[in-house]
Amino acid sequence: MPRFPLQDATIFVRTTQYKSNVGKDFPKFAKTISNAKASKGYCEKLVPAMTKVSNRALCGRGATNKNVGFYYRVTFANAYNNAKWSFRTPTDFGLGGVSMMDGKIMK
Amino acid sequence: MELYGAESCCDGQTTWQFQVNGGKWMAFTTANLNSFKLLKAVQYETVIEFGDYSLKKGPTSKWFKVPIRGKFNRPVVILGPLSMNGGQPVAMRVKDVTRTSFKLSIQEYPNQQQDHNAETVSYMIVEEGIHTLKDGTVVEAGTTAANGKYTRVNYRTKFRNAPVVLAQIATQ
Repeated sequence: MPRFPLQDATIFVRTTQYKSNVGKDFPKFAKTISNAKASKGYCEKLVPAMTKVSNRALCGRGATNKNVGFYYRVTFANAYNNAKWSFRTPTDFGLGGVSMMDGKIMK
Repeated sequence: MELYGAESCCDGQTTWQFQVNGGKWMAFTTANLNSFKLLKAVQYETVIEFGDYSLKKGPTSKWFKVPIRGKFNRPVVILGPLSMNGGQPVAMRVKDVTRTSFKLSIQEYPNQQQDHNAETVSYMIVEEGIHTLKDGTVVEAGTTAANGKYTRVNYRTKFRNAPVVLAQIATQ
C-alpha cells in the first residue's frame, strides 16, 4: 500500500477586488486576498486546468478586467522521492504578487 | 502551492506548466498532476532488498534474469560478493534493470573466456534516492555515467563521516 493517502489534485482560483500596490508586507497581502469575500464581477472556482485563466474567462458574464486580486491554490501529491518540481506560472501582476510552497514564500 | 497577485488592468490570461525531474513540460491540469499521483500508487514501497542468485556452470558472459520481489520505482542494483567455485577472476555486470527484474552476468577476462563454474551471486537493491533506515543509518543510492577514467560523484546527503561506497558496473 502507498505510504500515505493520496489526494486528487485540485486547482482553486479566487478573484476579488484589489486596487492598491501589494507592497512588501506579503503576509498581510496574502491574508487579504485569500480571505476576501466574493463580490460582483469576481468569483471563486475549482478549475481542471490552468489554461488561459483570467477573471473574465473564469467568472463569465459581468466579470471585470480591472483591479483584480488573484489567489491560486494548488494541492497535489508529491509523487516522487526527492523529486524536483519546476513550475512556469506566467502572470500579469502589475500591482505585485507572491508565490508560496508549503506555506513558505518562494518569490 | 499558492500564488497571490493583483493587477489594475486588463485581466491578462495565464497558462501554467510544470515539470518533474527535468522531464517534459506539461500542461498544468489536475489530470496531469494526478498522473504523477497514480505513478506513486505503483511506486516504491521497498527501500532495500537483499538476495542471492545461483548461476549454473556455463559460458562466461551469459546473462541471467533475476526477479525483483520488492516494489521499487527506480531500483539500483549492487552485486556481490560472489562465491568462489571457479578459479578464474570475473567481473560482475548488471543490465536491463526494471521495476521487476534485472539481468546479471559474470565475465571472465578476455583471455580466459571459457565455461565458468556454478556460482552464487549476492545482490542488494536500493531504491534510488536518500533513505534513513530504522537504526538511523542514511543510505543514498543513485547512478552515474562513467568511462575508463575516474569520475567524481557528489553525494546529495551531507554525511557526518565518510560513507561506505559500493559501486557496480551497469552496462548494456
